[in-house]
Amino acid sequence: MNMQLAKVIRKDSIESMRTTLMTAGVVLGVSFGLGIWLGIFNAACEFGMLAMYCICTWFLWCYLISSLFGSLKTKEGRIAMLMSPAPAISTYLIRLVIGFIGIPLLIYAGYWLLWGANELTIKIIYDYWPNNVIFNFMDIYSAESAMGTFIVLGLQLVVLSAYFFGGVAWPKKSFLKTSGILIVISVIFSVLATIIIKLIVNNIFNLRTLDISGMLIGWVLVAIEFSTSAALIILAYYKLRKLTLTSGK
Amino acid sequence: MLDIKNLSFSYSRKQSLLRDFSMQLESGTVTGLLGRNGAGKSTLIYLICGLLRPQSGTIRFDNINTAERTPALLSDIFLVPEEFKLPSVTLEKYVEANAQFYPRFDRALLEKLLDIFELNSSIHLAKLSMGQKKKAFIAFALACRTSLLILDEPTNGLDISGKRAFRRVVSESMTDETTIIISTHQVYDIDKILDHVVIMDRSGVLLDESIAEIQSRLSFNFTTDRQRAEKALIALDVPGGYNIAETLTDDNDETEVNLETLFELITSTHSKTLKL
Repeated sequence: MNMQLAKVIRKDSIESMRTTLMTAGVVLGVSFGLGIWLGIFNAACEFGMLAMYCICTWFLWCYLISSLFGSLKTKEGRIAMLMSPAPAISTYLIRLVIGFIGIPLLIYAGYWLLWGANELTIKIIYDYWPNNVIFNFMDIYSAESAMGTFIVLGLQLVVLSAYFFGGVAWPKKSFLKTSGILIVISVIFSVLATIIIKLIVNNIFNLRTLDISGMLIGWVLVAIEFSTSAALIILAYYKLRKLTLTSGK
Repeated sequence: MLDIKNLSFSYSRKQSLLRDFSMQLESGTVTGLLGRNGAGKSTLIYLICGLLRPQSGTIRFDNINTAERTPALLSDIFLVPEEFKLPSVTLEKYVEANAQFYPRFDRALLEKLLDIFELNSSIHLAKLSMGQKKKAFIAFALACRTSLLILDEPTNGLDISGKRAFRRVVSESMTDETTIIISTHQVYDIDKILDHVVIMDRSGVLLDESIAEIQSRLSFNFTTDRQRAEKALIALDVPGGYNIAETLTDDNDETEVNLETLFELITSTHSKTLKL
């Protein structure tokens, strides 16, 4: 297994080197350029700007994770991947690591590059350090509200897992298809949640007699989020293993 | 040995493409897989490689079910599809990335085959024409020395010297352990290298014979004699006369198999009942 994994890593690193470098170059280059551009106009990277950057890169992350199985889009790419004498688990694990560790690291590096380039440009042109304290992602995962932290993390994980699964299940236009499905599911859940909350408020279920705390509901939500993510990630593997030339077309 | 038993497959519920299809191929043969457009040749190839799963029946290669597509099996099968995509790297890098999966990969053979195709391993795959890419890919496929090599329309896109080189590389790489299946419509490009022919249509295998067996029963000739043509098993109108197939008798000599004439003989409606 380790030997096979090493072979697949070697193959992927050789064959995808150009694409990987280009993607990294674009993300880092755009971040760096944006930092300089804002600095030229003496616009320091404050919370709002960096938050905007985070939102944009979040969509980028979702897009990139849904494109990890992009070679399955065409018949030629599909044959090449399926005929490769590598176990599906190796192909899968590499993409899982890239999607859930590699891409966020790249985005985080871009984030620092944006901030650093901005600070430096302002110093060079306007001769002062804006001294903006970079927004620490870890702040949103504060120790005081572990549950809130896990709810946010869990939600992110569900969305990313859905895009990862979508990449295998619908290789063609997987980002759009997965986005569409997520939107439909969100709408359905919102409606259901509203109805359930109304029913609870009106005490239809007679829940007020039960001692259900907000914390308990929160942790149940966290458990649902993490188990959904795990299910999607595992399903993606089984989908990949059972893939044929025509499935998901 | 490749053993296909009672294979059925369809892309849609309404229309079945292969029904109760059976075929066996021995090792050490170069088999031509012939059939009309839409007969299911490519589908059969994808089924053999495990890229599609049969609705019923089995395909076993050396007693392993190919639908399982295990890494060990895949390292012993190579498919050169009609259309393929190669990464944007040099052939050297491509070999470095992919040869590791094929335990019997033969570097010296690759160099020899590339030489026949007038290529070298420093070429960049993205900068090659389709025909050159095909040559490079076929050379790599043969150098992998897999027990089963399947080539789908391998001579499409090759120039005249490329076609001649193709016949040479196949002959030079052939061993007793190798089974090569060539699916093609370009019968004149491969007729000299085949030692077995399978002609199929949707109903199944119409002909599954060795070239030697066909030669021992049929004689293929060109004639301008209309009366002889009318008496033949089949006569194909060609410029200046007829290509005919006749039953081999003591009066005529053994000839080379004319695949086009043989194909028409086997697939034409009136001769479907003809037993070789």
